[in-house]
Amino acid sequence: MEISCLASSSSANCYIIKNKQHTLMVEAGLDLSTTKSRLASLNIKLSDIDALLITHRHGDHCKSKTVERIALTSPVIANQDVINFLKSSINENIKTWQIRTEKPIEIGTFKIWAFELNHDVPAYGYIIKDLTTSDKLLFINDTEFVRWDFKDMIFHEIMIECNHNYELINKIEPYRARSIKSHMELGATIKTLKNLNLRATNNIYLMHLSDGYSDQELMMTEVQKATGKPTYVCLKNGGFI
Amino acid sequence: MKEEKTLTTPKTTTALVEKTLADNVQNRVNELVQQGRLNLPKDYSVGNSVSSAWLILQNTVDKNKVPVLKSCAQASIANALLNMAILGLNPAKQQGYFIAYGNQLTWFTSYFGMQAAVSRIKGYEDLPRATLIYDGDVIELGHDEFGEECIVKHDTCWENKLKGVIVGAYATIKFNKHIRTQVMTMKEIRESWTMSKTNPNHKEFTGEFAKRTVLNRLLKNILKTSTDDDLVAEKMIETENEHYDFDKSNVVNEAKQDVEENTGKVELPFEETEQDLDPQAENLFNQTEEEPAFMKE
Repeated sequence: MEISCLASSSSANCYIIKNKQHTLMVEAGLDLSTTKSRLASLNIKLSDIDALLITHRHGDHCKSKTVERIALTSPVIANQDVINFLKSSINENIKTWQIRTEKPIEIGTFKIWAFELNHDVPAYGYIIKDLTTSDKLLFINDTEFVRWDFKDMIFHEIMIECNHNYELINKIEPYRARSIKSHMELGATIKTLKNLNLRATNNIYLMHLSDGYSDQELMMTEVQKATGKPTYVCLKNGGFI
Repeated sequence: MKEEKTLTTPKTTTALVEKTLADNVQNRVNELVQQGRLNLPKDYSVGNSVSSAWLILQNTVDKNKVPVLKSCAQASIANALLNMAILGLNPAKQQGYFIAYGNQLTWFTSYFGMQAAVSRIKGYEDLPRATLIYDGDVIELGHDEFGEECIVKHDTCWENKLKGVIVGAYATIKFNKHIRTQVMTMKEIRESWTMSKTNPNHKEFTGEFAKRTVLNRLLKNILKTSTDDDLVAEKMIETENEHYDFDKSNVVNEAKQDVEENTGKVELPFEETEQDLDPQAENLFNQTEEEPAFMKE
């Protein structure tokens, strides 16, 4: 399973998960032309995308024009709330595939499970299994905390939100203070990771770092220290460090 | 003296809940009236207002689009209704509305509601008023005999209103024979909105909200310095504070508590999870003597 980041921050999110046969886009928060140009740098065309997976309807995850274009050639997989939003903001006939938390779906050589997260709109996290290798990816973006106990489930790759850290909270303008309650603070991310069975985990990717209120060095070091796993930060304009 | 009883109701069907809530609110109001702490206007009917509120509540949803009657704790619904009744207000007259924060329902007094409620506070004469200042208006500021800022002259014209750029607002009220004034620039008004829990921008109805804000500032200044035991004044301040965050550390503490209480607490209800479980998991936990395999890596 190959993971790429096209964008990751409070302004836009877009990630590519691919194996030898199929390509998934997760989140489509970039405008269409930036999506195209960043895909091109990975040698991927829009038409190569087999499905688009969206976590929730906010604009940094679900940009109407981009979703509309991708939906011309491949299905958009998301929860009911996102689908209702797309149908009303784009058109009634947009090609969608509703995913439910009780039932996994298969798309090509990927199998996807969904679970609910705690954001200010209905948001899903996903487990994406590459059926060619049996590797599993845990994908958790915007949420205040992760209430699930994943038991002994193993994940080979983990992509998880790490939005802000309390050391920088004083910089948050008062009117934005409440918004921190919809995103994971470094402590919440670490607590969630430590609850997981990390035996088989190769890499941890931190996503959705806030522009002004996150210290990426600190986050990377702290997560690495807590988990003992190679940790990367998904960058605002694509790529990792 | 300030202690308010919390109202609770048993779980029952909707119609019964309405009746129980209405009775509870009515009884509590009667108690307060008998104690001499509350003086409701003669033409105000608690029953009618609660009925109107109930109709509105049936169509009110929280930010997740869940009906508030489902998502909010009954005690909070009862208290929101009680606050509305103590203030002598009716949501059908747009004197306020209900807002849910998590599972807590609250009462939010509108500009009209504020005007109506204030007119019942001791010492107030005449309805309080708020006026918008448009770009281009000529304002002459001065000080009254007590050194308080006041508007000496305000010239405006239709063109200024038509352009619609609000640059400030002022509120006036006649209190114990004196005119009291509060003047705020639009910048100050917007700053106070940044504390709002629900709507820090007020992009819609900006003018109405600006009027509400300046009037609220004036009333707070007067009410907070009054020594009277005035239940209406108290409730006005209390219900207002429910809608604004004045301390960031509250939010941080709430968030920390949420994470602590909720992380990893619910078993993931997946089908077909078994084949995806760690095949080595059992071994891993049984290896008490030997170091687990992954530790050696």
